[in-house]
Amino acid sequence: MQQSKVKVWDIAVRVFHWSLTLLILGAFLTSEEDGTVPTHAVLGLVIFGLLALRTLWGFFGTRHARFSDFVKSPREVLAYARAFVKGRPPAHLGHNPLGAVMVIALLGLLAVISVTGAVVWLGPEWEGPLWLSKDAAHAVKEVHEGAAEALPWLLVFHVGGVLLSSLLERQNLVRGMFTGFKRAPVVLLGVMLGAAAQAATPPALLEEYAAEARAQSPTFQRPDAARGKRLFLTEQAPRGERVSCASCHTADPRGMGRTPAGKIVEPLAPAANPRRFTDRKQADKWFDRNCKQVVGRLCTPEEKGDVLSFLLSL
Amino acid sequence: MRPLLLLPLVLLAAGARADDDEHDGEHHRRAPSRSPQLPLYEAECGACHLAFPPGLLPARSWQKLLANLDDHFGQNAELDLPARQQLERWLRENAAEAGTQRKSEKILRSIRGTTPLRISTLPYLLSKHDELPAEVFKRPSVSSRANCAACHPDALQGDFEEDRARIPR
Repeated sequence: MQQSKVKVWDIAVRVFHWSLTLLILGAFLTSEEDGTVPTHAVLGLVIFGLLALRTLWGFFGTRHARFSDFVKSPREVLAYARAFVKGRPPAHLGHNPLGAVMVIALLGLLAVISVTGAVVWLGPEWEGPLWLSKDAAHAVKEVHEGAAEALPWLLVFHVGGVLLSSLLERQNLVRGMFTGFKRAPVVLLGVMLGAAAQAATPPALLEEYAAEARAQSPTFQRPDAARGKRLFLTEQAPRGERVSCASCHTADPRGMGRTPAGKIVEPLAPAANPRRFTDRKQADKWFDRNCKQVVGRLCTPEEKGDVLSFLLSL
Repeated sequence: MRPLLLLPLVLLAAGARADDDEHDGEHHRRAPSRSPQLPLYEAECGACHLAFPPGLLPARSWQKLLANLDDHFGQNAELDLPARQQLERWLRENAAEAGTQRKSEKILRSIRGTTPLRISTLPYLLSKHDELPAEVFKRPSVSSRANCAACHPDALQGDFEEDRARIPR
């Protein structure tokens, strides 16, 4: 597969990532001695500030910085995890679904640590302005320390996941977090540029449509053959006459169809006609024309994927 | 590109047929001259219907058809601009006025300056088919008046000779 470099992580994400790394390291080194506690508190405060900024950036930032770009449903995370275990994870330009779980876990744990740390710092233990009972202050301190002890374990999994993904994707993801660039398969690049990539096989084309559907709607799961079949068979009448895909392709697209002008239409299902869906431009041309004809508008990548998924299931 | 590879063969065959025409000059029924071929035309227009020999319509008709491909007899048959321009040029050069088709002259005379769009209902062609019951065109094997090739096996090459027409059941 052809590859090329794509800018994925913006400068804010990268600066956040590496300054957070250094700050956490600093916080660990200053956590034990009484004398370094003021430094520890300042580092914790900066971490809290960074977390707040990153959360805002997660809603208003660039594409791959947004939570909506990478936070996936548990079902999708499980599906990705299964593929990951098999060593064949699908490509994701930003965070993959498992990486996204780690991002949320780390942000959440760090929020807990920094907030409880602030309470302890401002509370009675160091005679700060925040009044807390001795028991309450102790409990908060327990949470702070317990969470801080869990952090290294999460970080081990974080680094382990990045290294494993680097191996599976055959690219240096750590360097990507420095430079901001990742290598993208042409499929994803095509999505980014809005250009049509050339798929050579029907399953590859299906993947392209799925990737585009995912890019358009983060809630999109996967192409659905049953949905595709419904769309294929449903009669609609955008021009007055009731028509469906089956009007020309017949209800069994493994067989020959016929155009209104009487010309034979070769089978549409790839199982019956290996030439179908081997050229992105051709497939799009026919989808565009025929969707306008039958649906009255262009089909979405999701709908194209559904229909192709139905045809591939035959 | 397979169609392009075929082009030299088509040209060779066309040349051979042209030679035959010269030899057959004295016969009453000359073999029809071969209709010009264009792989793009056959691929784009021929996907949905017979790639009708361009000599069946005047240039003004082709131009009007190509300008309204988004509603092509009720069908969406849109093409990208480069393809449309190439077809426009080729159809103009090979339209009925170019006389590539023996029938072209009769068709032009029968339409009397109008701009017909539907080949299957050209007055000249209707009169040529008037002895056929309407039922013939409704048979599943024919299914449409536009499906010339159902009865004229070499319609694509512009051969509509009655001797060679076979009406399917």
